[in-house]
Amino acid sequence: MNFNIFENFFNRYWKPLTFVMLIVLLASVSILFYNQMAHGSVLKRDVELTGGKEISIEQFSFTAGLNKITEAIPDAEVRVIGNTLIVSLDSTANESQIQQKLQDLGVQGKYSTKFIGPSFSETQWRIAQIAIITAFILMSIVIFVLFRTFVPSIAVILCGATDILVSMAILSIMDVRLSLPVLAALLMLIGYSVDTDVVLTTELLRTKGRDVPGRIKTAMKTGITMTMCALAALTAMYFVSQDPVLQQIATVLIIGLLIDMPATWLTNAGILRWYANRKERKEAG
Amino acid sequence: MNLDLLKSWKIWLLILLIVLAIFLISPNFSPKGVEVIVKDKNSTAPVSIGDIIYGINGKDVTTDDITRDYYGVITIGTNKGQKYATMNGTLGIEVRPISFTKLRFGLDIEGGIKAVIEPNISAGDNQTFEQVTTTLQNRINLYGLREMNIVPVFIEDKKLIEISIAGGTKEELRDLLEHKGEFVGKIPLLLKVQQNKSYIELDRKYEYTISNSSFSIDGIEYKEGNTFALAGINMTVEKIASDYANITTTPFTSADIIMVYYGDPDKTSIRPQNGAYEWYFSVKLSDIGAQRFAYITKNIPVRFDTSAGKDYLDSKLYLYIDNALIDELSISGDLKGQVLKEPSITGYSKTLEDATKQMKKLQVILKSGSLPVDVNIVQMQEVPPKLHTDFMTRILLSILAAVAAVSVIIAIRYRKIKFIIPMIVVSMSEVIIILGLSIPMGWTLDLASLAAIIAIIGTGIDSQIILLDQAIRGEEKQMTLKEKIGRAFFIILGAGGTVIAAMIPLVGFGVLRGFAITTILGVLIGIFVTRPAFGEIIKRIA
Repeated sequence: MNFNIFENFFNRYWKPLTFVMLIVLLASVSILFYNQMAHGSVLKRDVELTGGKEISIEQFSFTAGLNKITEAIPDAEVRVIGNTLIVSLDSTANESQIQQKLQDLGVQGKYSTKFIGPSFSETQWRIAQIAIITAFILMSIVIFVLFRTFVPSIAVILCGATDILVSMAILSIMDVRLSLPVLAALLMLIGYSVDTDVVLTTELLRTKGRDVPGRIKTAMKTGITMTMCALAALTAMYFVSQDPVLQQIATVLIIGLLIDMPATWLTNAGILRWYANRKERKEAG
Repeated sequence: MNLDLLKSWKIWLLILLIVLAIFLISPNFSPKGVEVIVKDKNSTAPVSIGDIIYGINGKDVTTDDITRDYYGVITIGTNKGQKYATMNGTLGIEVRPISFTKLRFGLDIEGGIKAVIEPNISAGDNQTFEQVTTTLQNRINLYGLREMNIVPVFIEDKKLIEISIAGGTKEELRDLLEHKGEFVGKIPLLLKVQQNKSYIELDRKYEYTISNSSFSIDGIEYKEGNTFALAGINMTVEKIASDYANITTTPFTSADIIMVYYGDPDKTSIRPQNGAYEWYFSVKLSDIGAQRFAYITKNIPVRFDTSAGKDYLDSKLYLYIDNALIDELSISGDLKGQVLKEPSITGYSKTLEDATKQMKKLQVILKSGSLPVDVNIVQMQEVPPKLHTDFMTRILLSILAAVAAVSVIIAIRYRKIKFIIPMIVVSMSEVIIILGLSIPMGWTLDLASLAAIIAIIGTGIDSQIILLDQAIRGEEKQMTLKEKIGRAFFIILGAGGTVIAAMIPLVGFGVLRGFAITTILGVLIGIFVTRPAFGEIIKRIA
């Protein structure tokens, strides 16, 4: 493969490319804002965060269509995550009766039930929001302590925010609900998404001698390998584990890492390139 | 080159930790026997929870063998030696296959029931909270010796209790937890206006008057619904008519129960009767409670019941648990004015199984005492056990698949076996050390922790990529290898710092604690053990 074409393209159009992810970020924020206004929360929440009852049937088999289930149990909301069928119910529903109905319909698999009280789930939801915000603030502090310069630090934090917000918007389009495993994955994403940015920023700020595009290329080689390794491990986890919790976590991290690549190598790299050029000009002039 | 590597303490630290972790996990590739997880109250099997059964009558056992009926003398081979028992039916225990390792897995993997309970108490009331925890713990213990875990959880200003139990059903647990367990015995008294005698006799005589729907006793007037106490007996005015009044007396409450009889065949039994099962058990009352019963019954007339051919008191003794009537007992005529020390509670159930359960539930609730406050179940989750071997195989396969996938990427990028092998080995050692450390830290691996471990394989290798890339870059002649590795560590510390920062808010967040701790531990082991060791390796192979 000839990477020179990419390299030339990249080196020539880095300025407009910087804005690509910023536009995506803006679109994502609009989607999330719309969700918040229309539905009261940025992502649809799972039973753990709204309260109610849930029957999940792992490794389910059901030959008739899912609409057969909604016909038989009109109050239920039915969805599928990986190989797991999830039936959400009100907190007043009788889950044993509904489980019986499902079994009568011929839904086979491993049944488990869950009940979460409404006030308890409210508390969990409040803590979940605090956790995301706190995690983001703590991450930002670490970045500032690490680089101690304003523009590069802000660029890394912006990139982290892009990863989280764009991923959340994609999850909302995919109709993935915010559950506790999804929350855990989003927080993990806050931590891991900036890894590649740290590699990039360190390379640019702490290496003397080489030109800026050369430094970005070196950082990119390392960074892309890192992301690929993480993606490889998570994809393996998604397909081999066959477990809904592990699959949810893998989904969020895979989406996040895919977003992280353009966010790091287009936006963050673009901002740093502009910053480095300006600094060199200042030093020269 | 290789021998030179052994001079570094960083390598030795890594090796030491791996050996320690493997020792802690103590893998066992051909596990034999079954582990006892539940033992019924009336089980006579000579084993306890946590024991391992290898064989019965000299034959290896499977989980199916445990549920079979046994008669006569049997020998049970356990990890505590050969045991003998005379059996007459089932062993009354539940078991699970012995695990491959010493690792402990969470409820979402092992299966069972988890409930989160919120006692209705004010924020600072630690004493009541402790009392609720102890009572619930007693109830579960008394109900059947199950492997259980009961931990206080603090979320914001809420004090919650999380209870996880292996086995059992949701309904059973709900019954045990939701009952406040307030036991009350009540005897109604009918007070009539009589020409020559308008008093009741307790420790002394208390005169009463009833006229124009007003009732007063001992000189104080009461209305319907009022409560008062005489001679330490709580009484409630139920109804006031023109010439009589109905009063409910409370001879005893939960506080008066000194003992609940189990097992003693004279004081507890279940027997078939008219196509159903009658059960009864006795409770022992406090002297004060027994005395109150004597005082009250002094005032109740005796009637001859022609159908039974026996004397009975005019009022019955009604027994309530949590305001629900559970039994009404006719009081034999010869008990009038006598202390009642051991009343028995009777009930009927359609099947033997229901009778056993119903009786056991009441015994447990009475024995464990009443909860000082109401409790709410705020979360209840029932998880079927994952098919143990099946699930573990999938998790192991996931880990192997993750490692294989990562190896492919590394191979494409570096193309040199001398780089690939150390990376994979160091990465795997990280997983082994995390798993090993989970044992002395006493924490159970739930699904989220396993996800964190798999994610660590993917991201843990990141730091090694950073180290290797920094080390093998050739263009900077002015930097020594040591300086390059130093810069790599700056990146690794920075990246690790952000992950830890993002996970800290989750450490206090009940359900995701395992995930957060596993991730943080993974990062720390990476920074302090595996990365420095990998750095040493790099210095020699780059």
